[in-house]
Amino acid sequence: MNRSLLGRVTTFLFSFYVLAFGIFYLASALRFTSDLVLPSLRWTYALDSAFILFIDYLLPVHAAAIAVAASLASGREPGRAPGEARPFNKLVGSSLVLFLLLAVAYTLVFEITYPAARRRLVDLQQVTTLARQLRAQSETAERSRDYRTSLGLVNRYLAIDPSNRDMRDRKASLESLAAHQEAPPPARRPAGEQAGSLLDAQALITRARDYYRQGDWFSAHYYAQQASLLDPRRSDATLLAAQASEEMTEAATPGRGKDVEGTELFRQKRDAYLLLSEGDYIQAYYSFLKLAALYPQDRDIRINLERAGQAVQSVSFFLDEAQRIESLPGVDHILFLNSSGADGMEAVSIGRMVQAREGTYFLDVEAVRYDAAGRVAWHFTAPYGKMLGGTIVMRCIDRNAPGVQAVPVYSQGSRPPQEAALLRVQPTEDEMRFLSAQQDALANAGPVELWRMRSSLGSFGLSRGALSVELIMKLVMPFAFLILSLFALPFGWAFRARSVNGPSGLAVLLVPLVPLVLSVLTLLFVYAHRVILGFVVLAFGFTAAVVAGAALEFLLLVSALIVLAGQSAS
Amino acid sequence: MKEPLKLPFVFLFLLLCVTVILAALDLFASWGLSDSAAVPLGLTYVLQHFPGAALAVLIPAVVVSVVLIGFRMMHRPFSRLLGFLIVLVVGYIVLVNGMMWLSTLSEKARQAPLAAGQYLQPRTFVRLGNTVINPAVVAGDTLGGVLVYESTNAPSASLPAPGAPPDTIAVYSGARASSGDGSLTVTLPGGRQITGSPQVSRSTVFSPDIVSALFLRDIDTLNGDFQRLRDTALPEFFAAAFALVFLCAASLVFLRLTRWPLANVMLLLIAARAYFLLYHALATRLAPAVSGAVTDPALARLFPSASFVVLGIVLLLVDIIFIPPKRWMEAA
Repeated sequence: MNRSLLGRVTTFLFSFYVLAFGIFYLASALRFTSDLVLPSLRWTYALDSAFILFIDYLLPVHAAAIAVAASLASGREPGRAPGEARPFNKLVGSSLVLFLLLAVAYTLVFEITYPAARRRLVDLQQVTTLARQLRAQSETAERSRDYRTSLGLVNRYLAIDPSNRDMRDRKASLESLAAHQEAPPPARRPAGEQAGSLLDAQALITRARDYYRQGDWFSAHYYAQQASLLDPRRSDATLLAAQASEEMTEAATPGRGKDVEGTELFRQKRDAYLLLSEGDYIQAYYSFLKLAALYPQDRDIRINLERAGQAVQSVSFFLDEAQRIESLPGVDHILFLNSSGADGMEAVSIGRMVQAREGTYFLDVEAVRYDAAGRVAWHFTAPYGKMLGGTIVMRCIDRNAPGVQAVPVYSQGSRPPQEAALLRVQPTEDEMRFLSAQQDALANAGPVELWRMRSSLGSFGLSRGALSVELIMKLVMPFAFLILSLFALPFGWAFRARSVNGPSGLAVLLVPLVPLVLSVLTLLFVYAHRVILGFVVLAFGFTAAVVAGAALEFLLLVSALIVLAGQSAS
Repeated sequence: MKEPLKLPFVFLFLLLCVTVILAALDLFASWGLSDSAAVPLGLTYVLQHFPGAALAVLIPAVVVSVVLIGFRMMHRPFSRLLGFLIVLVVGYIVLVNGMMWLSTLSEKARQAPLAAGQYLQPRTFVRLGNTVINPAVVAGDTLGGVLVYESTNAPSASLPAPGAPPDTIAVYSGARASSGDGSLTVTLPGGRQITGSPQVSRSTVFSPDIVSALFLRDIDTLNGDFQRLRDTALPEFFAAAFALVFLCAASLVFLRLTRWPLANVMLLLIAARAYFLLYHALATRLAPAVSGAVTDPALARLFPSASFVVLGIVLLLVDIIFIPPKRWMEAA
């Protein structure tokens, strides 16, 4: 009974933390059902699930540990007579420092580790869903005697769940069946595909020289570069491209006697053309499109817009890339308003987004443009997409079979051919992670992420009020942690056992009641915060809510310190 | 011996503070959930709706105040019988009078049925069951340019042959919205209806965690029953109010149960929470069974309250028989 208060609090905190985590881990492992996650992922799931529960209920566990520790302290210190007790503020001084340090640690875990664990849990469930789909599809393919397809699907299943003995056995049997099956028929070619007209390098150089003589530096550079690509040994093509480039730079540089407006226009055309020549076809296309709207009569712009449009149509990615990422975890059911204005709005739905090393890929892309009267300008669906510079490219080609491709299918309306397989999207990949139509997407975001994206996410169709409250609540939680620590200490101290023999053994058995009761109280405390801050957000806006939140926490902190200071050591 | 004289006033002061705090929270939430899209929050609104909010929180306020006054009695002990009687009489008078007067005052501010505008905002997604909708225009209950999104369970793990995935988005020229009993129905052209409890910004803003939600549900059950009794059978209402305050006052025995005050406080708090849960279980599960077994409907209505009285008597007997009279003096 005569250990220092800090030592007692530390011991109880450690014991309560370990016990709580152990109980949550056990509960998660026992509650585990293979309906939710593959059996092979059981322990990973239990660990993440236990961690999430631990953080969700850390406030009552933490407060209970402090209250019990303070309640079991005697107030007398070693080597001091009963009448010589130090003032209470001296007894608790070092405990307050501990609370501050723990509040900092809680902030870091709450900001970084907790959202990551929540995302991992969602990933595990998605991977399981996909594995089950692959298994069902492979069984369907096997029943229809398509052993090669079935084997491919089994291989993709095993990439997710390699220890599954049933599937490994099925793989072995399918390998022998597929070996006796005929090779698949050659891939189909798309109807109406036209062979492009080919020119040899010499003809291209001749054309480039003609344009150079006419002072059309863009066309001269374009054809010289084409010739150089076709035959890299032609140094004359490289030289001509360099000369045209110099002329462009000169024409785009302001100088004495030059028309300022004309020079500026040329600089803009040159910048857009550089994007095209460097292979950034999509950005080049949109840059020229913007310029064409401003200068519809400009010949350079018109011609280069046509070139960029042709180049854009060649932008694509490989089908096997998209299929490979299907087995990776991602974000499901993304839904957002892409743009909205007086002329109409675009809504985009994405079945799944996967961020891989090779880039960001999308499955089941769907978009619709409509106006306020519900008139649809266009509406398409595409099986795959890949993000390239803020644009989703949806032309997906087979690496080995020319002509096999997946492109958007328009159910209503159409768009210009050069744009038909592209969709420029407003949100970034990071923002899209929080645009999932699944209800708890925002809970997976850390406060810093929410702060950064708050204004932009609101314009994509998410409720600004809900976003603001979610953000403020995340900011408030570390303060709530500290304040509850400060309230728990005098609470336990005020109700400490004062009799000579201390609490009875039977009473100590009631210790598990403390976190149970405090969980109700702390959650009501947090809910009261939500109601007050939610009200201020709806009534006065985000800034006022931040100020109100800060004022509320200050008030509570001062109250907690006053209550703490009011305790007697005797 | 001044403490028994001071106690009723301290109890009333605590009750007033707790009621004001809880009523303010209730007012904030109800304005945000029901009126914020249509009515600005001003002094008139607060004056009109505060009695209703106070009425809604009066029962939990009385229970919380009994617990808090128990803490004071623990630190400044005197005759436990006198303490019990003071809490019982003051609590009962406040609860009965409060519910009757506040009911009269709150009648002036009856809530108008919610318009669709409370739930729907242009360019903001609203979830209705498994469907998400987004109107481009909201004019009263008429919607224009309505986007409807229905997700499939999971994205199609496409077979090697590419194909267009099924549509998840549909756009309609207009729709009509109607609301009632907390649910929203959107009727699309062609007669198709989408109905559900709307998960809108405001309900997301004020959505409680599961533990708090269950507590609020139990409070609602108790409140609803008490208000029904007050409006239909006044003697039964008096009996029910007495039963509740009697049980709470008798529960102060928990504060003397062991030699460890913290454990006693925890027992009292968990008992206070459990009474709401017990009432909900008795009223929603056991009372219908009892009404089938007995012929007098008043007996069935009073079944939860009668259970409270029996439980209170048991606690009083435990206090008299098992708890040493000087337990509080030892702990103080």
